[in-house]
Formats: sequence, structure tokens, C-alpha cells
Amino acid sequence: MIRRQHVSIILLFLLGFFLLSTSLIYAADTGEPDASGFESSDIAALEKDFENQSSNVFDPLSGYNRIMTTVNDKIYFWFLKPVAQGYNYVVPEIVRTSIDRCFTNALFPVRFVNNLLQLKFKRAGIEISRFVVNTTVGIGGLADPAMAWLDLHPYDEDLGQTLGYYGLGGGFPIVWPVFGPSNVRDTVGMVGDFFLDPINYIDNMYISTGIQTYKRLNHTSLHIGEYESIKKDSVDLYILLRDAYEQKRNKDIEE
Amino acid sequence: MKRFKQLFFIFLGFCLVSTAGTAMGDDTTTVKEMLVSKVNQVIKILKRKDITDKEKKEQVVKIITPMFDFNLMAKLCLGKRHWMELSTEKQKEFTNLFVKRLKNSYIDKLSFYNGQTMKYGTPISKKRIILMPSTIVSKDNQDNISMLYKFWHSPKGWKIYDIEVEGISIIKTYRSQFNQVLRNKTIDYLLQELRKSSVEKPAKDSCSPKCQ
Repeated sequence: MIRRQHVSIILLFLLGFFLLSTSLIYAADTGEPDASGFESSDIAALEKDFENQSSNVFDPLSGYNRIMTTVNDKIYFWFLKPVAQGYNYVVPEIVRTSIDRCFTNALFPVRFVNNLLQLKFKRAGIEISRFVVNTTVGIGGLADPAMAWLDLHPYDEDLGQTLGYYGLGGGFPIVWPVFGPSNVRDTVGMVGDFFLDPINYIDNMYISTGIQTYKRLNHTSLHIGEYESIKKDSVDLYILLRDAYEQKRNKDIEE
Repeated sequence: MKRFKQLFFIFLGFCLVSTAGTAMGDDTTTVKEMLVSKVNQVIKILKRKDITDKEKKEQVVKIITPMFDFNLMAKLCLGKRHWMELSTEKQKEFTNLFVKRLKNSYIDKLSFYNGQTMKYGTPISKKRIILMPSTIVSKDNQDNISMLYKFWHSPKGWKIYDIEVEGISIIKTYRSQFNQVLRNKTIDYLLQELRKSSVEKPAKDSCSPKCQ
């Protein structure tokens, strides 16, 4: 009899606890009354995440960078875009995509070496498999059977990321003609990667430059409208591009 | 007696499951389910062929609006310091213009929809924040875009306060731009700039993805 009483007391207690807990949860969900106190401190906590990226970026070249941003804008609207649009009209999308893939495949040395430099051996191995499969079965990289059939994704790495991986900060921002936003670290990286791009080993400089320009044009033709859309979002285009570039690079380095 | 015991254990089990559920997994699943269902609704509308682009956009905005905490986003973009300097009236005007701009920008991005699907990762829970990583998967799996939806537990439930696209945070990029503008210009100038762009039509270029 006593035991039975015990059980019912425990039961009652648990019932009470259960009801209390659910009502508390309910109150938390619709807890408007005590929101005012919460809200301000919560927002402050959320804001902290955005604060460490200070508004005082060291940007000694900002004057030049702004001008170059405008120049690149003109290069895009006056040259790249109209030519790419004409090109689009003539060449079907499938062909352009394949050509883009082929150029990406040719940059295998850049990805392979930089994965190795970052001691990412497994990824370097995957890059080798991708290169072998796509160059042979994929006919020089025009198709991407490694991705489609073997589910092998590329691991994009460049020297700028490698330097970042070893703790080098970006340094100040530099906007390059045609290439767009960059920084000191990634500029050094670009120079290093230049030597890993097979196209640059073509003897005739005019031909290699021509191919690089064509590569750029082909790539642009697949992404028309994106820059316009970003530009439309901007209040200060240079700052938007500078900031977005840094954030994107930081993420790439982290991966 | 035996039956009593049985009942007791069932009850105990029920209590434990219900409380543990609400304390841990529930919020993340709620958030994930909410996002998944909203995204599915949006994709469904974008795929429809019996309505015009304009109608599509209106419906999509209607679906996603309740998911965002736009007021908070406006505050975060301006930053506490600048926000406090504004009169209530100016705060309101800024918020209105900013929200309009955000929505326009979102609508603009919809024209890039080209059969992509969404893949969801595991939600990450931190204090009153839930991060929801996901990926926009393109048809050929080549141009995938990583997205990070950031939810916070607002008084009105879980709401998005920032999105990172390929690691680029919407709030951060607006914040640095507004900071830059306000460094040497007044808030009125900023408002004027925002007004300018919200008057412009969602300037979809003559060349949409169709001619790519």
C-alpha cells in the first residue's frame, strides 16, 4: 500500500513537471512580455559577429583602386559584355560550357601543387584522378565524367590560398585591370600560379595572351548578368567588391 | 500493482522524451523544416509556367517575407553607433528603404533560376542562433553555390537575420558600405542613395539567362 502511494506521488510530481516544462516552453515561444529586456542584449550579441571586421581596412591604394574599379566596369560593359553577347549568339551554351571545363581542366597543375603544398594529400590524389579521367575519357576535359560518374569534385586551390593557409594575411587590397579585386598576398600568388598554367608555356606570347583572353571571354559569356546584379546591389561598388572578395577568400582558405 | 508500474514507466518515458526533445533537437529540426518547406514552395512557384514572371516574384516574396527579421537586418547593417544617432523617424525611413532594397535584390536574383535544387546540411545550434548550411546545386552539378542561413530566436520565433553566399555575408557587405558612406557623408545622403535605387525598376538586363 505504501509503495503504491509512493508511485502515485512520483506520478503526480512528474505530471506537474511535465506540465510546467511544456508551459515554460510555450511561454518562451510566445514570450513577448519579457522581450524588451532580451532584445537589446541579444542584438548586441548578434552584432558582435559583424564587428570584428572593422570598418578601418588598411587601404593605401584606395584612390587608385577606385579608379581601376571604374576602368574594369567600362572594360566589362564596353568590351567584354558586348563581345560575349555576340559570341553567345553564335556558339551554343553546351559548347561554351565544355570549353570552359577544358580550360579548368588545364589548370590542374595549379590545384594539384597547391593541395600538396597545403598537405592535403587526399585532395591532391582526387585532383590527379579527375585530371586523368577527364583528360582521357572526358576528351581533354571537354566533359567532366569524374564528377558525373565518379562523384569526384574538384578542390580549387591556388597559391594565394596556400599562403593564407600558412597564416599570411591578405595585406592591403589591390584592384588589377581586367583581373579585378585582389590583395598583396593573392597578387604574389597569381604570379606564382602563372608558372603552373600550361597556357603560359606556349612559346609565342601573342598566342598565349590570345588564348587567355579567349578563355576570359568564354567564361564571361556563361556569367552575363551576374556582375550587373551585384553592381545593382551596391551603394559603394568598390567597397562592396573589396569586402566580398576578402570574405570569399577567407572562406576559401578555411576550407 | 504491476499495471501501475508499467504505466509509470510509460509515463516517465514520455516525459523524458518530450522534454529532451524540446530542449535539444526540436529547434534545429523546426528551423530546418521551415527552411525546407519554404524553399520547396519557392521552387515550385519558379517552375510554374502558367503565371507571368511578375506574378511569380510577388508570390515568392510573399512566401519568404515571414521568414526574415527585416528590422533587425536593417539595424545590423547600419550598426548600433549609427543607428542610435538617428531620430525614430529616420530609423523608420531607413528601415523601409533598406527592406525594399533587400527585397528587390532578392527578386533580381530569382531571374537566375535555372532548374537548381537545394541540398541541406546539418543545422548548427549556438545559444540563440541556429546556422543552417546548404548548397544550391546546379543542374550539371558544376556551379554549386554554398549558402549559410543564420536564424535567431526572435520574440516572434525563429527568423533569418543574415545569409552568407559563398562565405559572403549580406549584412557584412552592406555594413562596410554604409560605414564608408557615413564616414564622410550624412545619413540624408545615404537615404537619398537608397531611395534612388528603390525607385528604379528591378533592372533585369535585356540579357537574362535565356540568352546565355
